Amino acid sequence: MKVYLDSDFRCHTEAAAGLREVETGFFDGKCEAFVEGYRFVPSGESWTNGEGVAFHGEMVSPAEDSRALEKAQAQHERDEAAHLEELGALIEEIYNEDMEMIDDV
Amino acid sequence: MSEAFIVRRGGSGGLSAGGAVLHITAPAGSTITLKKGDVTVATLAAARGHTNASDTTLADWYYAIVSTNYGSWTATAARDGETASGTVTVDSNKVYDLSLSFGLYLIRNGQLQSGYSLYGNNTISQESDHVLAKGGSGTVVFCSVGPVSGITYPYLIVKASDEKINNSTAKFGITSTSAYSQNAWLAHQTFGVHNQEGALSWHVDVSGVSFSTDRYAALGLELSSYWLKITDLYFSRVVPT
Repeated sequence: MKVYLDSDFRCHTEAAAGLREVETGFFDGKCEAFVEGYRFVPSGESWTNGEGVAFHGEMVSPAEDSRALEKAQAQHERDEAAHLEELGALIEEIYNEDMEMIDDV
Repeated sequence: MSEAFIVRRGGSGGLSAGGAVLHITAPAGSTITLKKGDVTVATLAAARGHTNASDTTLADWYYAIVSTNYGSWTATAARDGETASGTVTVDSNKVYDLSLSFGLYLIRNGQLQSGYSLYGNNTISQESDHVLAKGGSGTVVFCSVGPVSGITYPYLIVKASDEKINNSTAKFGITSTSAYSQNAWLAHQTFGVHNQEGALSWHVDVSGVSFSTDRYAALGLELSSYWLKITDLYFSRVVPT
């Protein structure tokens, strides 16, 4: 999945001026809120936090409370599942209608 | 004891007088207690004050030991209710360095600490002086230590005495469960200092990880020829330099 990093290695899901694109599998299937709550330091680079501690890439770590990010992801997965269920029901309904039409013919 | 005084280390050479010197590095503002065996010998006042419990600045203490008092010495640093200890065997005329840092240890000096378990079905084991994490066959395997909860330290640190990663990489960090998958990582760092002997150390930022429920400090290793000899695995406010 492509993510876009700002100068503080914070992740964004949309390209924008000042952001650079990187590819990682860590965020596959993750929702926007989850991705944008994370920091991604690519291999060969380093990020220094406010206390002067340097972290070498590759490092992936939540920049916001991980519990909130997990909740957002869980909600996203529930929404996706509900959406798929709706789609399935719609397809079944159309199928049944088509079958009725065929039977009528 | 008569040798109970603090000295300054003189350059990088040996000591001029007969005796050894303990050089203790610990968080600034700590009080250092020195024991020889089980006997408290000295308490060294804070080298300087500190502003708050998260002050990560380090300070040095020096303590001279005459040859008649050689033996096992333990230094304990205390500050704001936290303590850290280290023991060294003093037996010759030289400087002994002890680096102390506060934190919550899962593995200390190669020993799994009480209250924690190793997870990983033959991929992680307690050996005599280290915890051995081994790769699996064919796929990435995970092994871990925990569970931990209620952690407020910002850094997870792993120290190893040897590693064999075979020009590949390994991961360590925090996972949400002990039944691992790639999706279980909450924070991780990838490292790959290849086939290296001697002290190794890595650290990962876990300041954003919520420890309101159980978490596990985990390692991900590939291939059966990979291994890591872990001597320390701990949460800390200070990253070793």
